[in-house]
Amino acid sequence: MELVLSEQEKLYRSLIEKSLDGIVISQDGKIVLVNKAFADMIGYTIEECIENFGPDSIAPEDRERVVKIHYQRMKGEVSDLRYTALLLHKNGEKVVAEFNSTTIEMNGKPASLISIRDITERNRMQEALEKSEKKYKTLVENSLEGITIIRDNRILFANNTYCKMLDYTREELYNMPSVNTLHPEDRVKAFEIAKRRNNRDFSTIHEELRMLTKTGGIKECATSSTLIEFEGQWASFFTSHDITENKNIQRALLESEQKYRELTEMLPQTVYELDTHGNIIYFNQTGFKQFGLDTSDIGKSSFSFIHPSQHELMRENMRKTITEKSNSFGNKYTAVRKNGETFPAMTFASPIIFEDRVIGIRGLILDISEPEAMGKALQESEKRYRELAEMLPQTLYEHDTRGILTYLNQAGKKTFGIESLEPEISAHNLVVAEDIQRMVSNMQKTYFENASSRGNSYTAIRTNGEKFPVMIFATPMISEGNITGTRGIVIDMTEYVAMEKALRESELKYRTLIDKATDGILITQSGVFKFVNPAFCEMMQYTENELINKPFIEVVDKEHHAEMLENHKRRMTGETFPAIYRAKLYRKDGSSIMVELNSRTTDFEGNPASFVITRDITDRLQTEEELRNAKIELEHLNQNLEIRVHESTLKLTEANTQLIRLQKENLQSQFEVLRQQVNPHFLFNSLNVLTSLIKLEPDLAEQFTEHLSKVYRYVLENKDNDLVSLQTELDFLDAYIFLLNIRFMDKIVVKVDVSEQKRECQILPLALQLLIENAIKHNAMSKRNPLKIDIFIDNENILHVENNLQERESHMVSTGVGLRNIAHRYHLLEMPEPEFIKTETKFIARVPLKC
Amino acid sequence: MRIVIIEDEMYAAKRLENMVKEYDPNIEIAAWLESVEESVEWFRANAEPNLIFLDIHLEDNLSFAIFDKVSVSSPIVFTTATDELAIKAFVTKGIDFLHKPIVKTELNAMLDKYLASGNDFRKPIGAGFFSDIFDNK
Repeated sequence: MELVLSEQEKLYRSLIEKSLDGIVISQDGKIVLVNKAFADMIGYTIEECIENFGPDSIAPEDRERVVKIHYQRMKGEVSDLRYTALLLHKNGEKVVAEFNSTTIEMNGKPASLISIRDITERNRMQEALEKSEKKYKTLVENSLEGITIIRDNRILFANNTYCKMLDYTREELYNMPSVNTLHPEDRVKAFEIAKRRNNRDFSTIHEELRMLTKTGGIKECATSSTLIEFEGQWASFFTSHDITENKNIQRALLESEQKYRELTEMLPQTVYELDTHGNIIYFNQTGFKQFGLDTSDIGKSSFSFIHPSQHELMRENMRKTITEKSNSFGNKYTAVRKNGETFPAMTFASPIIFEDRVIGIRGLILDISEPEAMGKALQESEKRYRELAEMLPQTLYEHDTRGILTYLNQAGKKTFGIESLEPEISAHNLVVAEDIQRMVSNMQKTYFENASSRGNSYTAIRTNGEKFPVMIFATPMISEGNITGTRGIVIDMTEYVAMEKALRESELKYRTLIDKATDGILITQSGVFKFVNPAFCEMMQYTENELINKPFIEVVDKEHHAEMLENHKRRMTGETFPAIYRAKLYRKDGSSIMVELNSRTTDFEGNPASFVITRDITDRLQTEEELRNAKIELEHLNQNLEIRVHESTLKLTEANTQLIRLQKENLQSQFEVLRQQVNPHFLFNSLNVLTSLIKLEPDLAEQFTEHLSKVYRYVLENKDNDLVSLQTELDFLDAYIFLLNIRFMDKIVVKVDVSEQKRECQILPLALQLLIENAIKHNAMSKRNPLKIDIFIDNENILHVENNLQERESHMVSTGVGLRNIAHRYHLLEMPEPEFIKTETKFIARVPLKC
Repeated sequence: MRIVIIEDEMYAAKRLENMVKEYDPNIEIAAWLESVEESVEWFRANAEPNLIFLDIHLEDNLSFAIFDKVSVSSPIVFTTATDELAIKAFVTKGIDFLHKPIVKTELNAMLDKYLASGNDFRKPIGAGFFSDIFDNK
């Protein structure tokens, strides 16, 4: 189409060419103009667009909608339209486009001007922006630090954490001067920061500020602020970190340090602190006095206050304290005062640890030069000792070299019923007469050997005459090299004696168990039987006497010798390992049994031995063998079964496939017919006729409706049948032909000539209908030259459907699918196939019947 | 105003004629044609009408075959039971269409557009015009 361009039109044209949006102009249903921007948008050349642009250029999901819109526009319903749709790029990708159409006049006729904008990118960016905004917002809200944005004493933004920290709602914070959140004494700091900001100080400022909560509480915060741009202007961006807890801990620590210092100053002993080089960093008051120091001595090496001969020792001790982080007590040194005087000292040292590193040594120095001090200490320790002795639940006594008791503790007094040691009581009175001699000789032994005695058992006797078993441990008491007496502990053995009895009784019980056990139980020691129970004897057919002291290995089959010796050795060395194993043993008569042995190391008469439980598993092994055989058999059976199943599955699959094919054919044919029948074409044409009839010939309209429903019902009822009686099919055909006649009037003539008997024969349902439809599709029909269809049965029992040939000119889509389908369905039913013959004047279809 | 109805089913043609008369009794039904052959003959012998209602499936052929034999420029409205071909013709060739059974309001809109509006919708339609659509590509 040639466009006659006026000047103005030329201007429009150049604007369109240069536009960045796509522009399409269509007129009378044809696209007349496309600009480069549009062509580029969908990847084609301008020529390709003008030629090819149509519904196919729109993505399938939007196609119908857009064509509908276009259709409405053509009808003139809406004049200006805006909508979004997906276009298909040449490379297959989808382009999100915004369409904007208006009607313009071109060459005196209306045309559509559509501007198209690619919003794919815009959509993507918008999505990404929304996502990142969301993420950012979440970050800020959930930050563990309080975040605020402040300008001119107003809080423009506060996150959740900040609000919670100060116990305000957001609204409250936004509606109050921001300084009100600060402790009055720290407001000055805030003003300083503000002043710096006003002077364009953009650096990050850190400050510790005290904040006020809503209820007036104080929160100590570590804040850091920067300058940002917010809503077009400068504002301060604060992050606040609540450090109130930390501060409190710090204060407590400081207090406790102070307290410690006060304590150390008050101690009467020297308290010192050295660094890791041994230099003095602290001495308490006592220390200053004791060593005669003044403040100028702080920092001096501590070595200068210890006698040089001990420096090596001191260095070693310090090293130990520092590297092993250990405390040391009671190291003795000769200390040297500032004025040169020496005195004996005892030190206690412990490492000063900070952050897991030793940074110094702290300790006490005791002046032990005064005998007085020592004596006192001794007295103290004696007192301590006595206190301990009184607290013992056992009897503790002391007697002199004559044997006279010099001390008896409370427990002893109670046990023996002795109230006081006056008048003199001999220690021999503590035991029965028969034992006195032994007691004396034992005592003398301890004097002679100057060693404690091992516990000796005696029979003790109370003052009221009661006797009870005891064990006595005695030690000689020595003072200044001379024996001054004996100290002893008496342990009441009454309980133990009872325990021993109980043990013996349980041993008996235990013994009985072993004797009555059905499993063989034996103890071997040094390779020979030391104990065997009756069950074992029976198992092996030996008597007890025959087995005792017999080497174990003699009854064991050679095969197992090596293993057993190995196990035995290992067990004797105390190694633990699984102690269950099998072995073949030989009975007295030479026959063998298989046993399962379960061994454990034990003690027998004071020496290590093996405790073994044996179980005869000869039967069990047999069963196991049988089981194994049965399993193999089962596996064979299983294999066979699987093979057979596989074979029959194959057969079944084949049969299934055939069936499915037949069903598919059937369905296809049904579908074809249905498609024809419910095919909108057929339906709407029929309705079109019906609409006409209703007004023009109401009676006929009623009949038409009845026959139409009959046709549809037939299809529904017979679609599942492989074959139907000829009678049924012809009944249906009657209704169908009725409809055809009304629609095509005199243009079609169908004659059916089938005798009564033959009507019982069977035929493929809807086959005839398909053939008639076929004839109508391929042949011209007019009043002058009507389409004549004849249906009859020949003398070979074949049904004929013949029509006169007057083929249409155009080649409509019909590849003979319908006819092929019928043929195939007959094949699947194993019936002879139909024949289709075209002569010069006729088309003949020969359809076999099943009679 | 003269219109031509090209339709091979009598009842359909009759109904359309009645509805047109209802719209404006002064409209003349210049012809009712049932086949391609008949139509070609008529267009060769008579002046073009102001509007043509054209059924797609005719007695002897598809109606497009008419335009292979004779060139016509009257505006055309298809009447058809199915959408496919019609929409394609509409979108690519600017041929209007009506669904069967024809709805009165839709028919009236067509008549308004093509007859009453006074606009000139003629365009030459000759051989090959419909070939791409009706060869069922």
